[in-house]
Amino acid sequence: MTSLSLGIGATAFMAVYLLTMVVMGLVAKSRRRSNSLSDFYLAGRGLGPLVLLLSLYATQYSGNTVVGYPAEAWRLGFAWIMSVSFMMAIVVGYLSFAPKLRRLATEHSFVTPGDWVDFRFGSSSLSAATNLLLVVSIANYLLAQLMAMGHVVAGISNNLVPYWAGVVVLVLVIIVYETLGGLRAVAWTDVIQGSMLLIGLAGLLYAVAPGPSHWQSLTEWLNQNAPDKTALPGTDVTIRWYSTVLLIGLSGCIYPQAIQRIYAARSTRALKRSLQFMIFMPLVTMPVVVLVGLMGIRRFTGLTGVASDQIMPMLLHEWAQASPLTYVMAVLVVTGTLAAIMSTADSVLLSLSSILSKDFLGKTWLKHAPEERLTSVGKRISWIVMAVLALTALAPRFTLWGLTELKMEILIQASPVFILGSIWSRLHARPALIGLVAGTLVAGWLALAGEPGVWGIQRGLLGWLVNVSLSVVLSLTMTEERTAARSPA
Amino acid sequence: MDEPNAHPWIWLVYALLFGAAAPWYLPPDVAGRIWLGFPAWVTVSLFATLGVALFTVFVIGAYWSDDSDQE
Repeated sequence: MTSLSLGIGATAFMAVYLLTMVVMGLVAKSRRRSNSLSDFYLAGRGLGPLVLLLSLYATQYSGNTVVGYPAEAWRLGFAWIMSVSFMMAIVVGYLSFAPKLRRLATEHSFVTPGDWVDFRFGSSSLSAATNLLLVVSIANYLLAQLMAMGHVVAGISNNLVPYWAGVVVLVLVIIVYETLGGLRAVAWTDVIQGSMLLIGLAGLLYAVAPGPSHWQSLTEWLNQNAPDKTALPGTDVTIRWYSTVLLIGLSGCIYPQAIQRIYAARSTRALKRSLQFMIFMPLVTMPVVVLVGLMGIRRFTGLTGVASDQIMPMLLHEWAQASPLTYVMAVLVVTGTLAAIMSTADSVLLSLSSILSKDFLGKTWLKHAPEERLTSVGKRISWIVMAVLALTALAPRFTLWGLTELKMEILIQASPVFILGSIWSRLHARPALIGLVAGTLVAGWLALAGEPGVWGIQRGLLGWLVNVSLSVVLSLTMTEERTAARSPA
Repeated sequence: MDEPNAHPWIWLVYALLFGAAAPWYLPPDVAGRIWLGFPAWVTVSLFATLGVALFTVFVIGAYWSDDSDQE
């Protein structure tokens, strides 16, 4: 990341922000009602609509939204407006299974996504395979967030705080407030982090192009100087557009941290209200990010060899030196970015810890352990997971950085278990397991072969098509298993 | 309990709205036009996604019952 040189003001603001996070962890701890799994991992099932909304928002939009997506707009032009569609598809994806899942979760006290798989299919193999996919994809995601945190801190402080120190300090802050207050702390900090991201985006819009006349001027400039960035998308982009909407829509809605927020809502009404607002967030967020990327084309046109993911740091660097007002905005955008990264990381960590403690250890070594014991083991697991991932992030040559791209492609293979499983009562465990394994192998094989996809359709979606086809055909043809499977109705 | 999955037409409307968000169906001569500051096809796409958002508000309100809530 380019050095941002935001100086002492940004560092002080950051310190206050981090201290606030820890204080919120302490307050959340004081509100704890018991040491049960649902109190720690689901905030006692008491999240109201506003907290749910900002928590979903802060968790779903990561640092990649602010740094990576402008780079995509820089490369693809206005066609990256497709990001509004695919971020909306996640919320629409919830509608396919959340109503039923919410009702069953309340009736049967679900805590993890695996509880649904156990309830619906009664198959330990399918539960284990689904949990493994969820853990692999979100652990990867968490690692990416830790690395991004280190880069942002090093950039802000002009390397005064080196990459490794950024990773270590922020990991410590997250793990402290998370183990103190569980989801209550994570959701409350999400409220601050989500608000900071929104304020940062408003600052970005103001600085880049505050109104239609500015947008018009940018579009006219692009029409004349870079017409490919405003051109009507061709067939290849259109296929990528629809393929991405399906890929992100079908995988983003089954993120464990998103599913657990369905369980954690105070009421179905609160969940519904939060989703009715959440559906507008892509329209508020993505056009700003696209405009930033396009502005980068005009602003840095004289430069050669500019790496596109440097657009945001370069713009922030310029603003920091232009005027006191734009300096404040640059600080808000950077802290908003850091908040977006941290809010994603803490939620992913909490879900990871719940799956590992309840679904893996709770079914094996700690099979008959009381909930209090699983909760305390879960907290220790959080520390171990963060230590392992932080060490991995500190030695980048050993990282699985390339695999982070595979996150959605792996995750989508678990979606038939949740979505098809809730819609179609004839889906059985063994066909679902065969489909899940086959889909993962297809996506993995294409990734190893270096194929991004076929005819513009992403490899994850191709794997998913194989997955769903096998699940359906085998469910219709195989003899019904004698399992504890239940109808989803 | 009512839910969107009980009404297949809802998913048909979603397919149409998401389908309309990618502007493959617009004539090529729309390329140079500007509406509301953006290329015309971008504005059309944003209105289609606004349609998705408004339709979702309606679907959640009208077809997701919450009478099973234990509040």
